[in-house]
Formats: sequence, C-alpha cells, structure tokens
Amino acid sequence: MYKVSKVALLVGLVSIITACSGFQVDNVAGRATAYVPTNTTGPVTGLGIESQDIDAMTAKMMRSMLANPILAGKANPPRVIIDNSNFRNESSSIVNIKLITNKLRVSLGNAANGRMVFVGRHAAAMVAKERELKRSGMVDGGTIRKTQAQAGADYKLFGEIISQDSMQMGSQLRTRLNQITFEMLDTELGTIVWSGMYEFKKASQDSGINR
Amino acid sequence: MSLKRPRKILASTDNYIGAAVKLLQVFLFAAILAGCATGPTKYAQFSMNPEQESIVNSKPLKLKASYKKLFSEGRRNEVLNLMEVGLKEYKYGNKQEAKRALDTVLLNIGSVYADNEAAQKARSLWYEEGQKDFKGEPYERSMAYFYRGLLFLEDGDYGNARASFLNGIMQDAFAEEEQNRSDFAVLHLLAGWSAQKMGSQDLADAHYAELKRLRPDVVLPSEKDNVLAILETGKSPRKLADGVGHYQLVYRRGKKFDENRASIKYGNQEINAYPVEDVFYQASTRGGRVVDKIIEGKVSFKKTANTIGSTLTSVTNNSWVSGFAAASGNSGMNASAGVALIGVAALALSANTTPRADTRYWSSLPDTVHVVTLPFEPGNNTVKATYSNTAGQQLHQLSKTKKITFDEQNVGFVYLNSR
Repeated sequence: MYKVSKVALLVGLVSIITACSGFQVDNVAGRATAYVPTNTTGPVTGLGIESQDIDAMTAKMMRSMLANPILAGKANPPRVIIDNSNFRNESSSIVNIKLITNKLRVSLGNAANGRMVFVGRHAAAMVAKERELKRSGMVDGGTIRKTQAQAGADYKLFGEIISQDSMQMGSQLRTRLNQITFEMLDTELGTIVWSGMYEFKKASQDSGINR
Repeated sequence: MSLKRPRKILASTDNYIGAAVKLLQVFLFAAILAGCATGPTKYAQFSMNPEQESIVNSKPLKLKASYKKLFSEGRRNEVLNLMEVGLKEYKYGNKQEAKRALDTVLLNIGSVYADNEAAQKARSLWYEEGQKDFKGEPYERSMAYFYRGLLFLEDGDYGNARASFLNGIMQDAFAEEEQNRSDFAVLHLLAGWSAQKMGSQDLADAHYAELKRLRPDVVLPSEKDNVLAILETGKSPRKLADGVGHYQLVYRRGKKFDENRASIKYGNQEINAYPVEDVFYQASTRGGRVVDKIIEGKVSFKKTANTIGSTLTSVTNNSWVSGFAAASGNSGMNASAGVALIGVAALALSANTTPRADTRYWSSLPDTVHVVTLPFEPGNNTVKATYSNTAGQQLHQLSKTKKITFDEQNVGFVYLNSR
C-alpha cells in the first residue's frame, strides 16, 4: 500500500525539482579565442564573401596576371595601379573591397619580383606633401632621385562584384551566386589587356526557430 | 466472532484513511505542478564586470539603461539589446558606436549557426520560444539593415549601402503571405538612391520601378536631387502573446504618440515628407512563421496531455472506482492511486509544456518612415523637421533642427526622428 505512495512522492518531487525552477540560467558555454586559418571555412558562415573566398580569388587572379605576357613579360616593367577606387560593389554582400584589392596588390607585388611596378595612387596626397617639403627646402632631397612628377600608370585595375540571390519559399533555403570580375585597363589606349573572373555559389538555411 | 467484527471495521477504516492520504499527496503534486506552469520564464541577470561598469558609467543618462541591459541580460537578448543600443546611439549622433552595435547585429542575423543550442531548446516541448537567442522578426531584421545602410550612405559607401538595403529586402522576402513579400518600399527607394549615386542608373531604374509598383503616388528622386532626408514618426509596433496559454503572437500599433506627418523646412521653403513605410504594417503582414507550427504542436501536445491527465485523475474520484476500491481492499486502493499517478504524470507533462510565444521586440523603432529628396547647394546646410497629427496640428515640441552632412561627391544626407 505504501509502495505506490513512496513512488508517487518520488515522481512528484523529481517533477518539481526538474521542472519548477522557474528561473533559468543562461549558461551557454563560452568559446576561447582561437586562430582560424583564413583559407578555410570558419565556424560562422553566411552567404556573402568570406576570407576563404578572398584568399582563393586573389591567388587565382595573381597566377593569371603573372602568366600574362603583357603584364609580366616585358623587359621594361609596366606601372600598374591596383586599388579600390574603381572597384564597384553591386552585389548584396556587404564587403570591404580593400580586403580584395590590398591582398591582390601585396601578393602580386611579392610574387612579381620586379616584373610589374605598382603605383601607390591611393597614397598620392602623402607623396605630394613630401615632395612639397623637399622642394621648399624644409627637408633635403633624399638619396634616390628627383622626378618632375609622380608616376603615371600604364594599367589600372577595375572590377565589379555582382550577385544573384534566390530563395525557396517553403523551406527558406537561400542561395547566392557571387561573381567578381577583375579587368586591367590600358590607361592610355583604353583597351583591356587582361581580365579574370571568380565565381562561387553558397546555400544556407536558418534554423526553423528563427524563420 | 464478536471480537473479529470490530477488527474488520478498523482495517477497513485504515484502508480508507491510507487511500485518502495517497490521493491527497497526488493532488498536492498536481496542484504544485499546475502552479509552476503559470507565468513567463524568468531569466538570470548577470552582474557586470568592472570594464562593463565603466562603459555604462561613460554613457549619457539616456543610454545607460540600454547598455546595462546589454551586459546583464547575456547572449539570449544580445541582438535585441544591440538593436536598441545601435539605434539610440544613431539617434544621438554617435555613428561609430551605432556602426559597431549594428554590425554585430547583422553578423548575427546573416550568420547561420546550424547547431545552436538555444534554438534546439526553443524547439523542445519543455522550453518556451523566448528561450531562443533573439534574432528578431523579419521586419526587425529589415530595419537593422535599413539603419546600417543609412550609416553606409552617410559615409558615401553606396555599394555597401545598397547591399545592406538589398539584405533588408530579402529578410522581408520571408513573409509567408505572398502579396506582402519584399514590399518594404523604403528599402527599394534607398537601394535605388544608392545605385543612382554610385553611377549604376540601370540598377536604380529597376529599384525605382519596383518602388513605383508598391507606391504608385511616390515622386521618384530626380537626377538633380543630391540630398536625402529620412524622417521618422511614432513608436514601435508591439508584440503581444494572445490566446489560451499565450501561444499566439499578435502585433499592435505603438501607442502614446500623435504625430504621423512630417515635413522639412530649409530657408523659406517647406516640403512635406512622403510617408514611404509603415513599420507596423510590415510587422503585422508577415504571416505565419515556422516557429508558430512548432508552438502549435506544443499547444496540441499540452491539450492532449492535459486531457489525459484530467480524465485519469477524475476517474479516481468516480464512485464506481471508490466502491470497487472499498470492496476489494488494498489492491483496489493501490489501483486507484496508480491510475491517479499516471494522471498526475500526464498533468505534469502538460504543465511543463511551454508554448508561450516570444514577445520580445525592438522598442525604439518608429511607426512610420518618411522621405524627402531635393536638390541642395552646400552652404546653409541646416534643416528643421516639423511634425503634425492627423488633424494637421503642428506638434512644436517635437520639432528638431539638424545639419545635412555632405560626402566627397557632394551628396547630402540627414536623419531626423520625432522621438
């Protein structure tokens, strides 16, 4: 007779303890800071352009540019501008374009080993200020040389990021095609001497609880 | 013989008392469990560390409470509190802080955490929807992209501004009601404006065509227009939990505000702003959510468990069971208590199934967004926003004056809010 009573008591107490706290502690475990390689998919991903995409696209463009005889096969190395001033983002991905152009310029500069000369037009104001100081006699003329003007460029990089989004209405599975085009323009003649393209498509679906 | 009879009577009385005690225990548990099920879940508050306290202390009085909530409510409300902080910082002109807060919000909205523990819990029968980490409803996510886009616009970064507005439009594309998908008109207008200012007229035309479809009476920005003014009126839509068990999420328009018209004055001119977006309409036309189906499932389970529980516990009070128990001695009593125990277990399941809808919402949002575009020569760059009610009475106490900021391309922007 008392067995059932004890079981009832036990079940009741367990239910009360486990279910009736009424005060939940947000005890989601933290995560220690860790280095993540830039060329791999990190723990957090979205549909936009991420570090592994930037790594892969700049490596591909660099190889392609170095294999181009007009850009990298001349006895007199051409002067090239690679910056973000003519790189347009028409996509739905929020991205700092300098992440792409800076990486491309630096990687290419290291790998080209003198086969191309890079004009730092993005630092033109800084150069102008130093030239003015030299010419005004505030500082001496430096050790290399004097030129009439800053360097003019033979080629300039321009490009575009565009995208196409689609979504399955029922499941809210989303995909995004990202297409990044790079083109090198002859700044005297207006011809395109080299072009490259990088495309990738991503798909993701958020948890049902957030839809 | 005469000695045995009183013993039998005593044993029978003992049985009755034992059974009554058992049933009393059982009903006591049921009462406690039922009591536990009422009211929303309360969540732990974290104490702030010295660094967080110094941040709170460094903020103006109007922002202190928002930062305090951000640090003390933890991960579960982080996105919500960052939305509040980001928008308030923006209203007070602290753009860097606003960017930092909104960037974190967008990271959370745009990222997919496939194995999020809190989301798994919110799907579970034993946790309410409010357990999940807040990511906002589509209108709130769209508005987060809207404000981040405005900040990009102010910096003259039209590419990322447009990307931001496009993402806002896509959040709205999740609406279940087809006619209300991607109808966030202000985002189409701003995406068009961004495209126009970065020299992509074909993209601008596409956005403006969509805008014209949604708002046939809108006057599109002309090529000469170089200033964009965004004016906001009213207070945020509210989320309420309706229905038995508070499982149904409903929206109500914000209250305690009169203004619903806006205009800007510069020099001798006054231009009425076009009310391009009704935020409450966006909130309330979203349609059903996937999570509503989950909650419906919980409600259905709760009802079933509750019915089983009530039936079994009421059966033990039924006269024929009592009569059977009395006639069969101990075994009948135990059967009665056992049935009651199953009933209590079912009631416990029901009591602990929490279908309550999540009513957390971004409270600093406006009710309506108005817009003006105009040609403007840099010089006297100050504009005054005035607000009036439906009757046309001007509400002078809400008027605000602000400077237009011009970027390198001589494109100006000003953001004004009545609240």
